[in-house]
Amino acid sequence: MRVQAAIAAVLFCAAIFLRGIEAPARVAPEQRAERPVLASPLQFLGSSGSKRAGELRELLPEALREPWRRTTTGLVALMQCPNTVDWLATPRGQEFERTLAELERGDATQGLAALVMLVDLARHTKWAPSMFVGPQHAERVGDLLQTWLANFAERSSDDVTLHEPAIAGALLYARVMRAAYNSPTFGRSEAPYARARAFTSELCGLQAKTQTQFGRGLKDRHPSAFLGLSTEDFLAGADEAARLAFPDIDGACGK
Amino acid sequence: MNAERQLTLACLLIAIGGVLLAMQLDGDGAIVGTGYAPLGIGAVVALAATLLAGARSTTLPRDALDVLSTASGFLGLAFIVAGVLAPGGSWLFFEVLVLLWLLTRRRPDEKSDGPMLTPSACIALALMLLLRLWIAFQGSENRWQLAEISVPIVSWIPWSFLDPIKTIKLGSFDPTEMGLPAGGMRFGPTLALWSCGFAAVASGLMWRSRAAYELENDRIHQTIQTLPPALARLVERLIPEEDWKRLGLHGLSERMRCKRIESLVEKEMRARREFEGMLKHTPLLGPPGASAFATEIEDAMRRE
Repeated sequence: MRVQAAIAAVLFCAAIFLRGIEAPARVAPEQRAERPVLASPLQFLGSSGSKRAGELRELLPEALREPWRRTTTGLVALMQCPNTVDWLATPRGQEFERTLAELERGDATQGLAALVMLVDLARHTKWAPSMFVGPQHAERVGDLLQTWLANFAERSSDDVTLHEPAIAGALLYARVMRAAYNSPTFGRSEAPYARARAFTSELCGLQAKTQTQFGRGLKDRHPSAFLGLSTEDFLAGADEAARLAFPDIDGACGK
Repeated sequence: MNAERQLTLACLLIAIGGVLLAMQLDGDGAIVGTGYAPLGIGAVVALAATLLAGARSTTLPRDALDVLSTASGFLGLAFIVAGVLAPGGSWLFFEVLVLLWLLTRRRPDEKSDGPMLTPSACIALALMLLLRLWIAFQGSENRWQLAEISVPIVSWIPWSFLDPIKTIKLGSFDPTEMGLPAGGMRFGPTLALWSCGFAAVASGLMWRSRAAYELENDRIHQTIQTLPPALARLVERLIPEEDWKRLGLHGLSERMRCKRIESLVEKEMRARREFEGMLKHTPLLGPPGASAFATEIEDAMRRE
């Protein structure tokens, strides 16, 4: 009986002590002392990212340097604002897709290079739906971003170079897919939104027992965007965050 | 199983329940504490209930087991209240008031001292636990309100500018108020932990009350049994066990208990002698033609 009483006393102490246990603080990759391969990798996605293109190109495999340079400079140099699908059908657009596919098989640096291409595509081609243009262009950009996110999002969560750019890529994806959703003049286009809902749910682990690392990263950095994922208009929060992150990307080349 | 062992097991059950109520599982599956703030509020409620319910009590813990039992009663109450309280806001205030009323309310013939876990208090606590679990579930799903009701007709119109008035949110709260871990909460295992903890503490508290009552009666019985057997039987006849609590025999030291029994026996014997004397010298025969009521009473007295 004394043993039972002693155990009870110890358990009472444990019950009080256990209440104070806190979850270990999560350290985002950019908070670590480790330096990224490229300083301030988010700059490569900005409107003046082309100024640092040389730094990124040096880190790419020899065979991909020239195609990457051609496609990115080609996009920046576009005088008109071609529709996305139309531009992708040109020889330069086809080279873009081939280079993108090659880069997506690579490491974090190549992943960043691929994302730079996709952001440039969204910046310099026309994908915004209008009364006479359907959602096909926005959906195409969304498909390409979705493939990139499927390849790199989860592993970016522990990567100093790719962590912030991947989150920015997810915001851009939300922006493009929401534009596709809102494209019809009357009503809404449900198909792309349903596809985006399934993908973001898997990407962030919304339906799973635990959130994914990427989901937590998004929640830490853009809480309103993350919390919005559980609402009916689930990309609205991320769309809003994307407008702040990429004010120059409006689906019409800023014109 | 004797009362001492029952009391120890009841305390052990309360402690196990306290451990279960102190934990939750975060999104990574790691054990995270439920925090000291709810326990603080629970302790305040337990203290207020103890003071209000035990204001007229004269009992004190007399040995290590009594100390453990008293501490278990207080901590158990603090744990169970902390486990069921809504995380914050005006609900918390009303829940505290309701719990204080339920925990201090007691019948005059109540067996145990201090705050009691009566069936009505237990039901109220279970309902509060359900509310708490529902709030935790909503939070684990990233929904920050008790319920969301769609406004008929307006919610069917597919115009986004109507979104703010399409639904009505009831009982909003936020993650900080909830005390949810930063990495989210695994609702299933946490639900199991809290429900088992609640059941363990509630049953432990009820068991403790009964066991403590029985233990005090055992002690009084042991004191009386130190008398010669025939005398002990007479004393137990004079002071029946059902009255020991009411007569203030619980919670006394050995010496005080003996003194109290002496004075009770003396008082009881004096009363009996006075009654017998009165019975001997009082003419029971009433005037002829008395009511049936008087006749019945008279017959009963004669039989005695």
